Amino acid sequence: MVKELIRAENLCFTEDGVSKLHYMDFSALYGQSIGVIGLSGAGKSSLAEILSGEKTCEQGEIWLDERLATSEELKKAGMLINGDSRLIETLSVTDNILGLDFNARTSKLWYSSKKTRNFCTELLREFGLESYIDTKVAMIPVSVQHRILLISSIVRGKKFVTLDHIASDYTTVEQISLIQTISMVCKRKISVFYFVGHIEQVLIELDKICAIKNGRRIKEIKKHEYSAKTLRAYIYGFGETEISINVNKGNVITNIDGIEIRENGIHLIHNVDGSLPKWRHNIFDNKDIDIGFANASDLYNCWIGDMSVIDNLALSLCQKIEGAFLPIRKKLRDIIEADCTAQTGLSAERIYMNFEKLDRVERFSVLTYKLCTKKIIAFEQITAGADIRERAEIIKILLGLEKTIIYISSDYNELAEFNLKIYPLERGSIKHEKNI
Amino acid sequence: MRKTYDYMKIAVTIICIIIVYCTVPGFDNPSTYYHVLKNAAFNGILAFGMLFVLICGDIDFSVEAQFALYGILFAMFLKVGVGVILAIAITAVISIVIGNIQGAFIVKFKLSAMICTLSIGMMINGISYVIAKGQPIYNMPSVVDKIGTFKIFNLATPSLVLFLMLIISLMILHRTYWGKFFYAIGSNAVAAEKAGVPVARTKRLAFALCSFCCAISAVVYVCNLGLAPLESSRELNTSVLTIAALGGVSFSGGRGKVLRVFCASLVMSALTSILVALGVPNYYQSCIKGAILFSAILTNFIKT
Repeated sequence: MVKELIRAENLCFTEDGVSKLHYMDFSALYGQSIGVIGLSGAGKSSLAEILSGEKTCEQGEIWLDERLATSEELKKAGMLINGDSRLIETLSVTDNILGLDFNARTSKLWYSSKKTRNFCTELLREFGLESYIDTKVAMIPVSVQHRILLISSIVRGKKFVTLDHIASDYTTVEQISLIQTISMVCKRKISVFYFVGHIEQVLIELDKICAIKNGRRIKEIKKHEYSAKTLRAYIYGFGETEISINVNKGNVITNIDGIEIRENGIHLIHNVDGSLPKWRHNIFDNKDIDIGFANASDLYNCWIGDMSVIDNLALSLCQKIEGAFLPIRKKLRDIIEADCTAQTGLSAERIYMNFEKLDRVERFSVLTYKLCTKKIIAFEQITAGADIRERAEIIKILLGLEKTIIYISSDYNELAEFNLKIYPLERGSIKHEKNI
Repeated sequence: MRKTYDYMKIAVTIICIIIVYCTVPGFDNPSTYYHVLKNAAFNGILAFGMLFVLICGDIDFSVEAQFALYGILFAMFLKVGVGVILAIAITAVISIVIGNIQGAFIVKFKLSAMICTLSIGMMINGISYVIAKGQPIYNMPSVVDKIGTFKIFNLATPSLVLFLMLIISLMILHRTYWGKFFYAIGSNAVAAEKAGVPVARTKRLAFALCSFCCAISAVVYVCNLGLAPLESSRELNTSVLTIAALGGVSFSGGRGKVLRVFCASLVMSALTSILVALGVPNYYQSCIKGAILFSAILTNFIKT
């Protein structure tokens, strides 16, 4: 019988006043591969960091090898690899694997790259990566670097590895290679926890998948019970019988003319596999079309951070009337000031502050103010990265806009808040409309 | 490509040595080269210490002050009758403690290494003046002279210590786990921490090693000169950083080789001797050294 490696019970974790984990349970056996899937804000990264000892929870217990574990013990037993994790460029691959071996350092002082090279070559050969032994780290693809880091857990005496969103930019071939590496590492009795926001190919091969939502575990699916449809149902919150369409990643809406647009209504577009349709218009190239468009990155990228809110708005107004900004800046400010404070709810003090100092909700208010001249506004997953509180406030602002809104999202629950119509996408077109 | 570049460097060095040998007065005499080696020792040892800190991505501006303090302390211990070995040991222990404290402040409070070492350096400088009562310490015991004039194969004590420190530094950086940790932290501290490298302890060790090198250099200097001067360390920070830059050490951390720093210290010492032999005025010497430093940094930038 395989021994239990880790068991977490009733984990509660709050950050910046937002509850990230709410009585979360989690358990894993030695050598087990577990996928943890949940939408943005579900608590995946918080759980990954707590399991790896990077953060401590305020309530709940974590048992490691049937003993209550501290953060330090978890840190020593586990290893966290996220999308930003890389090998160290100034060291060779051998040194990256063995030179930073904390356990070896505690037992001996001397280290020789030459002696350890053979050991490393053998180890990497087992995983089909021996050709990278003499490659400069900077030249090694990121996916291979992640795999080497995963392999290094073997020599570092780790008991489990947490992979947090590492494969989002991987190609299919890279994902397959990762699956193989994970299964080989698991054979060495090291558990691998794979945290992911969308359904990925890797999940199919894992021993168990935990679906989490709003900081709680909602379902545990074993390998032989796995089906993308059921998993989708648990993650996005609807049953497989209700909507049984499948949209491939990369499908796009090429033209919104085909959608019936009614005045003063909210139209929601939902892509069931978690991928989002690409929109061809955005706030800067829609001169001929009376549609405004914005996504989550527009809250940050479409503004000059070290310029005040009012100057940012004045500048965009200035672009519209094609005049030079500085000579008419004062006049533009006077025009916008009262209107902006009334519409966005920001104080006069806030609108004279640098844009970078605004929080996400305030940025959203300003963005909607900028777009409010449009008849229709399309938002593509505007709440991505927002926490629960911010999300609620953004949706509240959206509902108060009294505009025709097309809201594109992969989060069914979020869409349900609007209480109007949903158009599920299927292979780039809308087959039917659905009343909530 | 890399090999061609290395061969070119060796060829240029040989050509330079031949030109110097033929044209500069006194450089046809082997004793001049021993002299160059001896002069390179003081700054060279300090540069080895600075190398550890620079590889970690930090900097130590208290080298100058520490050098003066340890010289004064060593001389004071000898004057009060402490034996040479014990005096060296106490000075070394004090240096390690001071280095550790500096490192601890930088790590614990996340202070800028530059500001922290500058301010601690100012404090140490003041303490040196207080201890020495503003005067250099003369009339050292005869054993100091013996150490200063000791020679093996025409190599004076400073040269021997330089070679010893070269070997120790090489061993630490290339043959121990700590060496790998220095490079890892300088290159990517976050990744190193995730890999399990004890970042705080490693940084403290780097500063302790730097201070230890200051102590060794100061002891050698005092033994060679027969007195502990207070003013000897003027512009020492700049000289040490010049050697590091000339030796190709990256000031942003993660890169640097002991042998290159050793060669750089020899080049700087030789350059000083050549300029003196040619009778170049002091202020022109500064210009020339500055130009060499600038070209070294520029070459490093182009190379990377």
